[in-house]
Parts: sequence; structure tokens; C-alpha cells
Amino acid sequence: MSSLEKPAVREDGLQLEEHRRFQERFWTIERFSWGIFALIIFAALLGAFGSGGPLATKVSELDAAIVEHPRIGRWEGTDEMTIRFKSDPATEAHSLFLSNAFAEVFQVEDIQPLPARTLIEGGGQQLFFDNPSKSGGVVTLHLRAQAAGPAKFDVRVDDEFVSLSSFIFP
Amino acid sequence: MESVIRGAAIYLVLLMALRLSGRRTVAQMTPFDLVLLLIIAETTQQALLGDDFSLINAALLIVVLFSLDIGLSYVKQWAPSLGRIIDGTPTVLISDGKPDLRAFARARISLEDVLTTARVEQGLERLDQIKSAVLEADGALSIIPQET
Repeated sequence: MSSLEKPAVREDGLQLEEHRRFQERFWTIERFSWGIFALIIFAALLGAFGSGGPLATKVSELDAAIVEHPRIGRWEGTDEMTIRFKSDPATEAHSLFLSNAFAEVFQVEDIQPLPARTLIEGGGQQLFFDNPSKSGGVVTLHLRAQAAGPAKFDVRVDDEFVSLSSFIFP
Repeated sequence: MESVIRGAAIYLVLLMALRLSGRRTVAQMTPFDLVLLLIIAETTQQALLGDDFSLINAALLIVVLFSLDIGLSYVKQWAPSLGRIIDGTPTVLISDGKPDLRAFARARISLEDVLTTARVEQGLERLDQIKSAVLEADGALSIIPQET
């Protein structure tokens, strides 16, 4: 029926098109979608959409450190990357290399503690942290995602490389 | 480009969420629904504007939202079946004085809701004074009294 056609008059005197079959189907879809709403909330609690939750952060264990990075983030949202250096009696300094692809996705808003020095290399930047007590320590990078979509980048802690990936929701 | 995508995405998400949450949410507004609406308005405002508070961004968003609304009204006219999906259809809750309890349950409307509307809008005292009650596509309840 076109929107300009007159609806038929029903037996009860109402002149309206009820489309009851459509409405019944829609009520079913409506209830099904409430289930989807619940699943979305559950997934969000697990961190499937970033901003906290077990799925949002990935932990990679390397020889020299444990790296926690945002596996799932949000565009313009804040996140953290944590490098927990292990104690090593033979090392008084640690280095952290971040590839250029990392800088293309994440803006580093702050580093705690600040690196002793920074080097620019062809493939990225290297940060050096003094650790005279040789007892390890934690470096936290406060990040803000600047690009949406999947991202792959390399991180090197001391001499060990690891390829990491993140997905940034728009 | 970003303003257009943001505007269109938020418009579609809101349209889907409001439609799928059921008509009760739209018209049968309780104080909690009002709070919900205010929070949604605040949330969408941030998602629409982001960090860009420029006049041109606001103007662009307004144009995008109005254009989408005009476009959808034409789509609904050309394809009434799509219009039913977007706007919904009226549901007869009481026909010839007989309540359709299945429709009441599925539409999450109580007899009390109908009696309240009947009192407020028609000055009716009892259910048997109602000939027809229709849950309109916009979520409003229409009451037609029995002829005396």
C-alpha cells in the first residue's frame, strides 16, 4: 500500500492498517535484539571494545621484561602500555625500542619515569632507562590512539623483538 | 568528511536503538526514562562533536542530520514497507471493547496504562467505556470511547 492510499475500514470501525504479522515479527526481532544488547554489554565488560577488561590488554612475556599493551583501544581514547623490567644483576640500563608504526597509531602523552635519553633510528625510536640498582622496575607509557583500525608495530626490549598488534575502534 | 560520517553513524545507531528498545520508551515516559533521555543526549553530543567545537562543524552536523531526516521521509514514502520498519505500525490493543492480551503483553503496555490515558484524555472511568485503544506508531495511546 502506498503512503497516499486510504487504509480500509475494519470491522470494529477503525480505519487503520495494523500489519499485525509484521508487528509480531518485529516484536520477535525486538526481543532477539535485547539479547544482542546483553551480549554487547557482556563483551564490553570483558573488554572486547577496549577501555579496560581482560580482553583489552595483552601481556607478552619477554626475557628482560613483561610488556602489557592495549590489544583493543578506542580512537582518541587514553590507554597505557606498561613494561615491567625484570631484575638482572648484569644490567644497569634497559632500552625500549618502539617502531615508527607505533608512533603512527599512538601519541605518547607521558612516560613514567622519563627516559635518560632517546635515540632516533631509521625504523623507530629507542628509549634508554638507567637501572643502577639492577632490580628492574616499571615504565608506563600513557597513550592516546590517533588512528582507527588494525595496527601492527614492533617493540624491542633490550635485545629482544616482539611484534604486537592493536585494534582501535573508531 | 569526519563530521558527515559521525552525524550519519550516530543518527543510524540512535534510530536502531530507539526502534529496537520498543515504543514504550518513546511515549510512555517515566522520570527514569527522562533521565535516560538526558544521558543519551549528553553522550551523543560528545560523540557527534568530539573535540571539534567549531561553528562549521556544528553547522555541518545540523545539515547532515536534517538531510538524513528529509532523505528518510522520502524513502518511507517510496517504500512503505521500509517505512513500517523505521516508524512502526499502529497496534490495536482493544477492539470493540475486547482487550487483546497478547498485544498488551508483547507491546509491554498494561491495562492501567490504557485506563490512565482514558481518564486523562477522555474522562472515562471504566474499561467497559472504551470501544477501541490503539498504540500508535509514535508510541502514543489513542482511546475511542463507546458510543452512548
